[in-house]
Amino acid sequence: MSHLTIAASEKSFEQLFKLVRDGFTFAKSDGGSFGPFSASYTIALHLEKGTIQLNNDGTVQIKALDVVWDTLLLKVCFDFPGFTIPGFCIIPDPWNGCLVGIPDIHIGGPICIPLNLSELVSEISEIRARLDARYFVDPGRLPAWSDLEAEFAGKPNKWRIFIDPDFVSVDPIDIPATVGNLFENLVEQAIEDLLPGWLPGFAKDILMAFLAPVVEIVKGVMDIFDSVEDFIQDLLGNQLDLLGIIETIVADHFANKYPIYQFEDPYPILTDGPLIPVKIPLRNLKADVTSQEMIVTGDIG
Amino acid sequence: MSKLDIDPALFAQSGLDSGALTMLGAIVHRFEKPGEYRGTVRRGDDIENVFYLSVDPESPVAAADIDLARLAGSLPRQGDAADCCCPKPAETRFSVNPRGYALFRVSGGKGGYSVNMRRADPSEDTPVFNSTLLDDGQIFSARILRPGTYSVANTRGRGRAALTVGRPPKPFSGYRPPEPLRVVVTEGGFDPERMDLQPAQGLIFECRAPARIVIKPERTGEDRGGEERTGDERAERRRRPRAE
Repeated sequence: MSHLTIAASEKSFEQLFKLVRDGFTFAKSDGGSFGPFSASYTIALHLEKGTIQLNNDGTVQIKALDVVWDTLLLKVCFDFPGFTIPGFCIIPDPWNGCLVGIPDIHIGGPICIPLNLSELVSEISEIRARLDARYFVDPGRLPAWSDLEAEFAGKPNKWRIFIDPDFVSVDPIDIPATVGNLFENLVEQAIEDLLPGWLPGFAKDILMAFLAPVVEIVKGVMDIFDSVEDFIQDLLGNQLDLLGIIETIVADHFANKYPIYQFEDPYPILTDGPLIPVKIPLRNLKADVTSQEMIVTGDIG
Repeated sequence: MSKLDIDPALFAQSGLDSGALTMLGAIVHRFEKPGEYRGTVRRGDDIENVFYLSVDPESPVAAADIDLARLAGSLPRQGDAADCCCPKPAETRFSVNPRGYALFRVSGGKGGYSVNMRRADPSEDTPVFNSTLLDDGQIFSARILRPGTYSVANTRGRGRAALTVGRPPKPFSGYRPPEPLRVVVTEGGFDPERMDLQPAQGLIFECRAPARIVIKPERTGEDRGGEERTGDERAERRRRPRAE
């Protein structure tokens, strides 16, 4: 039987969880090449909301946790197939197309489309976790220090209780239809911006007239299956693997970076008065939950 | 993002001359007699380069593509805009079947080229082909990009014609020019005498008589059409969601 039992109600646990949640931030930039196009991103995010449920099987369920994208910048670059001034046939070949013809004139080049999707909100639909108590020795604590010296140096040992996820389930990033329109407009603008400023008006007119509708250009180059917004959703979630990144960093934050609670070891039990506190060593700390509360048990000595 | 590299000559010129080829004009000639031919690429009175054409019954080539700009060394070398790209010796030799055709065209630069060809045998100095004077069986093809009205004249004959080029449709309309218009050039003139083209539509002059075809702008619709088009575009864009 344990010498020590500490309990925290579900409500108290929720308050502790909010501190862990609010302590989370993340930022990253990366990119990749995907055949006909390349893409890069810059992200920064934090977490909001979320509901807690403690279960009698010792699991903690966190649901409807919002991922707020403080920054979500996406840049997609592809080789614009270009403007083509079509050629024509001068002498047809009765058996095989054209015997003598004027070739097409191709003018093309790379274009990049920047897309700012900041302020989007996606959701972690569920985290299922268990509590895990681990003993922590501050790396700054010198081996020769006593517990008292370590405390005076601000580097006492600790027992830390983490929410250790079994899994983190992230919903696909929902891209609104307006983003599809925005992307197409940006592609149009980028194509126009390719044209040199010295080009006479009629030349711009005719080159732009040759182009197929932007959505066909985009779909053709990037092999888009459905809508542009579906493509962007797949690009972010799967190809750039932002969903995987979120799962990993959120799990790591809860499991390793930010304990829900921690106890000093030795634990101070009498702190009032002019003398140094009386402390007791804690051993075999365990943390568990029931549907009502979090329970921490341990031994003294 | 850098701008596209567009040859300014493509849009700078406003007229065409079969005797001074540019990117928008080309000539087709059939060399029916087998043998070796020597050609000179000229700009005005200056000889830019020499090339050789072998008309060989054994040749599988049905259309010899002879780029006068490349022969003249006026195209920039890949990755080195400062130097011209001078053709290697092998690039100045062409072959074609007697039943095929030679296509003389200009792929870049200001142009203004003509071609003079004779038999390669030095003892035979009779000119065989001179692009400044087209004759029966030869073809001049033209492509006009700038909207407007033009005069068409055969400076070696009496032919006169009127030509209009329409304005391009809206951006992103997937516009494709119609099939080229064929015009027969005879002693009496052009048939048809009135040519109405869409932008970039081909124009093929099939010569039946001596000809040098000169196309000159009379009134280009660029400014007028450009303003209206820009206004239409602005109105169209105002109706659509704007990019941030």
